[in-house]
Amino acid sequence: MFCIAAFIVFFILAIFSAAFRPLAAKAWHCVIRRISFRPCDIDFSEELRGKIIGRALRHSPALARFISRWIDWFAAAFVILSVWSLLYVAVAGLDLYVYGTCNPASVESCTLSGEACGVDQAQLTLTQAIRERKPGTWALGPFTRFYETVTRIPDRLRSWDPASFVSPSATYYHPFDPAKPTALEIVDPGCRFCKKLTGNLERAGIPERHNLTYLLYPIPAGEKYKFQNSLLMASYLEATKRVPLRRNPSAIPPDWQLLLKLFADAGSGADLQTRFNIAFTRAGAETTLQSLLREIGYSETQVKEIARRAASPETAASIAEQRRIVEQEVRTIKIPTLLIGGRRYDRVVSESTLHSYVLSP
Amino acid sequence: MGFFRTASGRQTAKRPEGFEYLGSGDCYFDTACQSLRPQPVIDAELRYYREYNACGGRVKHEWGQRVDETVASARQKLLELTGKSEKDYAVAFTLNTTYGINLVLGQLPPEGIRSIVTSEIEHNSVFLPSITWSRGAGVKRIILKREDDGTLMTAGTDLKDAIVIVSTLSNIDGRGLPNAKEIAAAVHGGNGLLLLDAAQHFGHEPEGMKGIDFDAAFGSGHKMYAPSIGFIIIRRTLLRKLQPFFIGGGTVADVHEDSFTLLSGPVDEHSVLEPGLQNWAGIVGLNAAMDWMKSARPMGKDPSAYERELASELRRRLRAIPRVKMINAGTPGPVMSFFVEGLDAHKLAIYLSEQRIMCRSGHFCCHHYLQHTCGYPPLLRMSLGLHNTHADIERCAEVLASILKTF
Repeated sequence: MFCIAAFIVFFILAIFSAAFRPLAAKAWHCVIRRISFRPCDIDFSEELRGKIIGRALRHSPALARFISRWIDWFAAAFVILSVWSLLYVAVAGLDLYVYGTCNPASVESCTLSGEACGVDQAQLTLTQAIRERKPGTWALGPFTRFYETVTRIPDRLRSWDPASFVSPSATYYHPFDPAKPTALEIVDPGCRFCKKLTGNLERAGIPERHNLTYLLYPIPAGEKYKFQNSLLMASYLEATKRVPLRRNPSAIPPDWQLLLKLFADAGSGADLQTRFNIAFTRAGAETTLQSLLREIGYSETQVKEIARRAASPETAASIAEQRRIVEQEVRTIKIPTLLIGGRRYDRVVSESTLHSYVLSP
Repeated sequence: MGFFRTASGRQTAKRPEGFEYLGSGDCYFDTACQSLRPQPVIDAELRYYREYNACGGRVKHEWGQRVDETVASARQKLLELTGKSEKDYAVAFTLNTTYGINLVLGQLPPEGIRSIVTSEIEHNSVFLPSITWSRGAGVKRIILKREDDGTLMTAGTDLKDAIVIVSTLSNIDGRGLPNAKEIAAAVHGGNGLLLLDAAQHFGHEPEGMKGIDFDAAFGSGHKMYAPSIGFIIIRRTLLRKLQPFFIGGGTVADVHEDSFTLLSGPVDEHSVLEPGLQNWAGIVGLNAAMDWMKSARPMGKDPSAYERELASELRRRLRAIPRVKMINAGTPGPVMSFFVEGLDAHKLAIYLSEQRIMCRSGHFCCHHYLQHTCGYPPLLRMSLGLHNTHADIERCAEVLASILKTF
């Protein structure tokens, strides 16, 4: 084990400094002997061990004695941790390629995930694992999804046709034009990155060159939702689709108008989305949504109708269907997800990138 | 003058003159392998490189002639060290002692030789060539025992027409060859040859070689405060017997299409053992080292007496440390070896090295005797030189005792 530990250390050091390469080569020779069940090169192994213990002797004989006694255990622990770390990094790398995040269980904890709201999975923390006496489950956690991750590799290589994932209740930013390609955005009305992506889409002119539509996906979090009023907002958006606006001067469908109002920036103070997420009770949120509907131009009767429909099984079924599409067909774990031009983005896409789809849709 | 500290941090004695450059706290106890070079030797070698960095060997220019003069001086000093005359003996420079022994034995024809005799404690530089020579010549090989004081036990052995090749100072435990003169008489009485491995001897008791009637003595400059270089002091009659096979540049007087004439005569005879370009800087350094040894007065004392004093103290201190098992503890030599019960000598050498104490571990190229005859585990060897001080010994003993308390 000592040779293997030495090889790991010197291999890493040798990457950065040629001075360590002969030592790495010696250690490798030793590892080869080990894995072919021959004794490790005594000169190298003992010399290295002796140097470590000898150096400890300079400071404290007790420390040297302690190291001498436990050095093989330390080496074994080091090798196990190194191998575990290496596999963890490999799995994380694969996750990054497949899901766009190095930690699918907690997307926000991976700085490489980009700007997105994660669809968090149940994850056993180290403290929970210790408390529940399941350290093995915790240690193997990253690898349990491995099979599923591998099966999703083709998702990264395929061409995505947004039209195939449009919901039966879909509306388009501008009236549907069969001559234009479709672009699909998966949104959670509570996710600030969805707000950012929608803004980028508008500014890049995507709605003018594409049939832009969306799927509603309030991100689940256990029995509840990641953002406390996401489902309510989604229900109102879905219900709004079913109640026509008598006079609509903007020509943008009313549900889109409601979505854009939810994503509007505040002049000062907290914006509306933030207030929905952290300030409003359900009643307050509903009152605000109804107020927004009135601003769009709905009559009081229509607002009541939308409120009734928002709570109806029909709306719930439609949202459930969209959730099914997201979870079982698109299989994303990061919101927003944008399908455009045959590609899939599981994060906020910059305005400049989106602009390229305008130039050559 | 350099000062250094013991393990307790106390500032102690100065270094002997010539070794002031040594780092404080550095304790070197591996002189049996290679001695440290005093500053005058380093200076002489540096001066050669800077002032007359040329070939020797009958060169007509000034620098070359200066090299030739220095080389001739080194040859003369080696003869003086052993009390031999230029008329009877020649001096040749080689790579090292092992190389010299092989060069002579390898070119020595077996005619008239009935046996090759050596001793069990010999370094591989003697042991192995004696095996190969015996095999090649088809001559029996005899291995004799040595007393604890190094006396070669020749009783009952027929030394007639024998090559006797033994060391004059052991690299294991410093035992000498007190009966060297008697052996020489017996060997020469039987028309044989006495070849001496004096590699350890020249650095410690060079005067002890005087009066021994040897046919060839082999030494190493790097064990006597000089750069890495070997030498052979060889009786001219033996030199003329050699059948040269390792020849080329610098060895011939004339060359024809299918024949050549080797250099001969008292001035050039040695050249048959010096094929090719020589280590001129090494010879220059050796010349300076012999001057330095002659004038050295470490701590104002006679070098041999000073070394004996150090050896005596080191031996006393080592014997006082529990678990230290000394080899041939009764021998008052400058080289001593021991093992520690329950602690591998290689590990111990590394632990000591980390405390800046340099000692040798292993079987010191004496595998036959230490490993197979005596069955010793790897040993730790401490060998003294004129750079060592009492403070070195004090510090080493303190550290060693501390390590052995820990493990």
